[in-house]
Amino acid sequence: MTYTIQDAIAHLLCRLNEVLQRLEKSTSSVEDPNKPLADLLDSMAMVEWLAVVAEDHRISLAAIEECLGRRIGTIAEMAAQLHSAGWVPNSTNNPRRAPSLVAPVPPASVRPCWLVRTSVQLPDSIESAASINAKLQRPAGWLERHAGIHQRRIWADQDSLAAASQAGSACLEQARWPTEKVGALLVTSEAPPLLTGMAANLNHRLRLEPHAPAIEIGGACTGFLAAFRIAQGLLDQVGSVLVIAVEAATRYLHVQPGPAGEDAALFGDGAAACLLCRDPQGVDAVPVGPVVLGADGSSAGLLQAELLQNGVEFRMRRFELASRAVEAMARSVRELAGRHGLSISDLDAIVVHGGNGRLPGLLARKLGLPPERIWSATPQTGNLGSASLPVAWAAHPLPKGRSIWTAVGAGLMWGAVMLGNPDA
Amino acid sequence: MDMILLDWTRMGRAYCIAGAVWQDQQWRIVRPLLTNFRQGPVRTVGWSAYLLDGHVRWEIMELIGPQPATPEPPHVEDLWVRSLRFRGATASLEQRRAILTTTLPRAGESLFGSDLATTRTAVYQRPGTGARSLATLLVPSDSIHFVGVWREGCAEPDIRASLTLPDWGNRSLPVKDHHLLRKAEQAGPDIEQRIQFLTAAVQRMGDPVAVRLGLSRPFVGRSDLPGMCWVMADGFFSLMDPQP
Repeated sequence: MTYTIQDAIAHLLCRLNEVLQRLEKSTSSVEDPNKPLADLLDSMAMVEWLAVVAEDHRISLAAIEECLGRRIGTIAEMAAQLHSAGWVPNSTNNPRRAPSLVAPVPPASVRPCWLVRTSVQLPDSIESAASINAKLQRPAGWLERHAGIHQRRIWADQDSLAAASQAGSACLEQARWPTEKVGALLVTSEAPPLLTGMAANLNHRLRLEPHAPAIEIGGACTGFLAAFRIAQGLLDQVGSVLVIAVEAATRYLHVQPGPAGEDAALFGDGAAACLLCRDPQGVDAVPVGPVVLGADGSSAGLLQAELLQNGVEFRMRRFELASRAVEAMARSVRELAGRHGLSISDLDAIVVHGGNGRLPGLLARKLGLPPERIWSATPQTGNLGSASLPVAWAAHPLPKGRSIWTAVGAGLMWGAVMLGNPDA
Repeated sequence: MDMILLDWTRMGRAYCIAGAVWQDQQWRIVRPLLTNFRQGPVRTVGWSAYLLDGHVRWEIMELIGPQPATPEPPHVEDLWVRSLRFRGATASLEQRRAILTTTLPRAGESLFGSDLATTRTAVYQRPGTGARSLATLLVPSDSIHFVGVWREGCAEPDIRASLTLPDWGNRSLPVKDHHLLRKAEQAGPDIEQRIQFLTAAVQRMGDPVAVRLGLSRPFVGRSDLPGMCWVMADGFFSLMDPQP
């Protein structure tokens, strides 16, 4: 489809209205492309808007200003200049149709914080790929070849909430952080062991202060990043936040012959906890940058959960989902690294949510990195949902330099965060 | 009360000024405001060009009839004065350096004593918070880049300086340094010429450059929201030889 000047005008107007709203300038929409921009934008709004437009065109702010001859009249004039220069935005007519895979604006009011400690509790029971293949009535080696999963962890008869509580206790003990100093508890889960009151339950089990907020966070497989994002907003008030992820997918998903059972076989169980503090505590504390999150609800059909009488079935458009997941995570990592002035090769590790065991390898190839720089525990645990990032992180020695955590989840949602000092 | 004129910025056709007064054995930064406008809804009435043009930074001026202003954080430096009178003298080199150094944030301290929030390109603080609205940051001269664009119909272009701020990375801040902008304007009418001049002028300052950062008065777009105090580049000084 040809990209016209009218498309360019529509794009610029859309972005202009977004920026005006974001900067709290106006509640009414600008629709006239011939109105002088000096009447619509002050200098702060103008540079924000130009930066958004530059990003859409994948060029620098300086480049777009040069293209415009450093003079800005009206949107119609600007659209004509960009169009004649042959520049087409990443997303055509309606930017909302193809949102940037990283949240376009770094989260406001968020300062970097510190990851003080991470603790993991994996189930004692291990189910081998051979056993799963038998349940699926698939030949030997099928799950390993198709999903890169060699075994998965399952709670079986273990109390998963007790395990989540143990992860939290161990995290606090290792950090030498008394329970009364925990300012808030955030609990995230895609497949919760308790359908209501899980955060309160864990608050009680951990003997945290009753007045410490206990909050449940959604976000599917990006839940841990969402919890980090919320924690960063809370830290100025509460000083420290304990984040717990607990997944009990095998309680809901049944491995059986057929597509739904094969999808179920990807998932494992586990729990992990991280202590985040406003200030560094201990020599192992790692700085955590602002979390970026994004969402595109128009892609919800890629992964849906359906409630059945005997549990839940996932319906996945596997190849499309895997492709979008790798693309989203690769782009999140590139953009986040670029935002800090880093290249991919500057990163010591990329901690990745493995929807299946092959995704980490695909991401490594996409980013041009050796596989050992992509950390994931999925081949040994199964897809651990919201717990996958801290579990993969804890399975390695702390990196000396910078790393990025990234995840994609049902929705479609995605996110990323940089750990380590970007200026190191 | 004598004040050494330190910050001299543009606010439309008027000027906004701030300076250092020696009080209780230390330098204190104040923002003099004309008492005549005390009853106004916002403290955004600047100083007339008729009063200030022809003078330079680091000049010593008497603040006549100073009276404390109710703090409106982050603009806690506000001070009502009946008038200003220039003394015909300037601060010594040692005083200039001392003032710039005193206003650097201490180790572990945030620039304005409270959290800043970011947009894609800039940084701001919400009104009602913060311990100060003016601070100095030391920046390597070759890491400062100027860019600009002219909104047609505006009296002057929007010049911005790209700087790395602690915790916030590279940010594009509006340049409000009246003296530097005035010299750039004399370099030529073309925005490219002005940017080249600014870049060269800052590089000549040597390392490090003491950048005076200031928070704007709240930009209130919608009456139901508190507004945003934007971080702006109010002044660029050589730390070794702080020039007028």
